[in-house]
Amino acid sequence: MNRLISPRRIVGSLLGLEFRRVRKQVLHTLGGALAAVGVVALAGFDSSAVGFIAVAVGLSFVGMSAMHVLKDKLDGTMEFLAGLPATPPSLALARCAAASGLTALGAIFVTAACGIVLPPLLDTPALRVVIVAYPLVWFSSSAASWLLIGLTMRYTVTRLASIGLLVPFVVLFGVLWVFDRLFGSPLDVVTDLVARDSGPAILASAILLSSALVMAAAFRLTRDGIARYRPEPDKVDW
Amino acid sequence: MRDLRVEYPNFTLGPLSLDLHPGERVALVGANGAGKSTLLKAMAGRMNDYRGTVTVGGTEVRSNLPAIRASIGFLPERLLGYGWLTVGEHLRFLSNFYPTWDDAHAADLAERLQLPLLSRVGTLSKGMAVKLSLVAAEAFRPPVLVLDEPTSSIDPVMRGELLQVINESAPAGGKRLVLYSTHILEDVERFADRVVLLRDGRLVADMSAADVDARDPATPMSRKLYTLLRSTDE
Repeated sequence: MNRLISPRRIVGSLLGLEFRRVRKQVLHTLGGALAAVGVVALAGFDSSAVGFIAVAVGLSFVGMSAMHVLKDKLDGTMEFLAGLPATPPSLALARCAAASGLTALGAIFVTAACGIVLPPLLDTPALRVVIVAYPLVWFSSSAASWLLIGLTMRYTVTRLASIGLLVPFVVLFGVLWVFDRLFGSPLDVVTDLVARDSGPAILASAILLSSALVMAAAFRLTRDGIARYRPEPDKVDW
Repeated sequence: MRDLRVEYPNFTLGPLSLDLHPGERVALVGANGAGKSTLLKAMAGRMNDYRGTVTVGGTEVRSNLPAIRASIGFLPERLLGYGWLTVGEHLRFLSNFYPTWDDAHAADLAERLQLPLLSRVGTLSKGMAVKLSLVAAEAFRPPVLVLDEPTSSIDPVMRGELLQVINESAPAGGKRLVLYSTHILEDVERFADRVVLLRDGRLVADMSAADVDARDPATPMSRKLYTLLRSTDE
C-alpha cells in the first residue's frame, strides 16, 4: 500500500498540465500586447505608453495562476486534483512552479518597461538596468503570484469574494504607510538609496529577502489549502 | 470504520461503524441525501475532516492519503477531470499517479466500453462519463473499488454493460472488496452479496443479500429492499 510514484514524476505531470492549460491564454495575451504596441506605434511612438502597456501585460501574468485556482474550484477540477494520490506539497509545488514559469515570461515585459523608462531617470545604461531588473522583477512577481495562489487555494470562493483578495492590498498599503511614517516617502528613500554606491545591492537584497519570505508563507498556504480542501456545494458543473 | 461522523451545515453523517472485508460486494442503499456519497468519500480517502477512524488494510486513511488513494479505485458521483483533455489524455494523465496502472488493461476496458478516446472529456454524455470514470477506477487493478452511484441516470443498455464489467472485475467469491452506492434496487439484486441501508445519515440495516432474500422467497429482492427502506422510514 505504501508504494507510490516519485514526487518528481508527479510534479512533472502536474506542471505539464498547468503549462498546457495556459498555452492559449498566453498566446492571446501576447497577441493583445503586440496589437496594443502596434496601435501606439502607428499613433506616434510614445515610450511611456509602451512602458505602461508592457507593465500591464507583465502584471497580467501575476494573476493568471490564481485565476486558474478559482476556476478549478468553481469547475470542480480542484476536487479532481486534490483527490489524486499525490501529497499536498507536490501539488503545491507544481502550482507554484507553473506560476513562476508564467511570471518569468511576464517579467520580460516589466523589465522591458524598466529598460525604457528608468535609464534617463537613474542616469544608467539601459542594458545594466535590464540585467539587474529582470531577476528582481521575476522573483518579486513570482512571490506576488504565489501569494495570490495561496490565498485563493486556502480560502473558499465566497470568502475570497468578500475579503480574501483584499488582504494583499491592505497589507501592501499598510506596510507602505508604516514605512512612510518611519523613514519618509518610499519613492524618495529608494531614489536616495539607488544613488549611493552600495544602494542597489541593499535594495536588491531587500527585495529578494522579502520575496523569499512571502514565497515561503504562500507555499504553506497553498499546501494547507490543498490538504484541507473540501468542495463547496454550490460549485458550477461543466 | 469506527464512529465515523461528518458534519455539514445542514446534514450530519453518523456516528456509524462498519466492517467490510475482502471479497465482499456491498451495496450501500439509501435515498438521495442519506449520506452515501459522504461515506464513500471518507472511505476512499477523498475527505479528511471527519471524526472517528476509517481504516483500510490496517492503515488509518488520513495517515497516508496518497497511498490509500493509490490502492482504492474510486468512481465519483460525477466525472472529475479537465473538460478540455481528450479521453485518452485524461487516462494518460492519471497513469502518471498510480504505480500499478496497467495501460493494456485500461486500453482493453476503454475499447470494450467503446470509449471515444479522441473526444474531449467535457463533451461526453453522462453514460460515457461514467464509463470513463470506471476505466480510471479499474485500470490500476485496486484491491478495493468504491463506486458512487455508477448506474444512476444512464440508459438500461449502458447500465447493463457497466454492471457486467464491474461483475467481471470483481466476481463473487473473488478477493476484491467492492462498495457501491445506489438507489436502483434492481442493481442490488444483480450484484450485491451484502446490503447496508442508510437513512438521514444513520446506518439503519446491515445484512447479507441472502438474509434479505430469505425473508420472502417469492418476492423479488428489489421489492423487499423497498419494503425495508419504507419500514426504516417509520
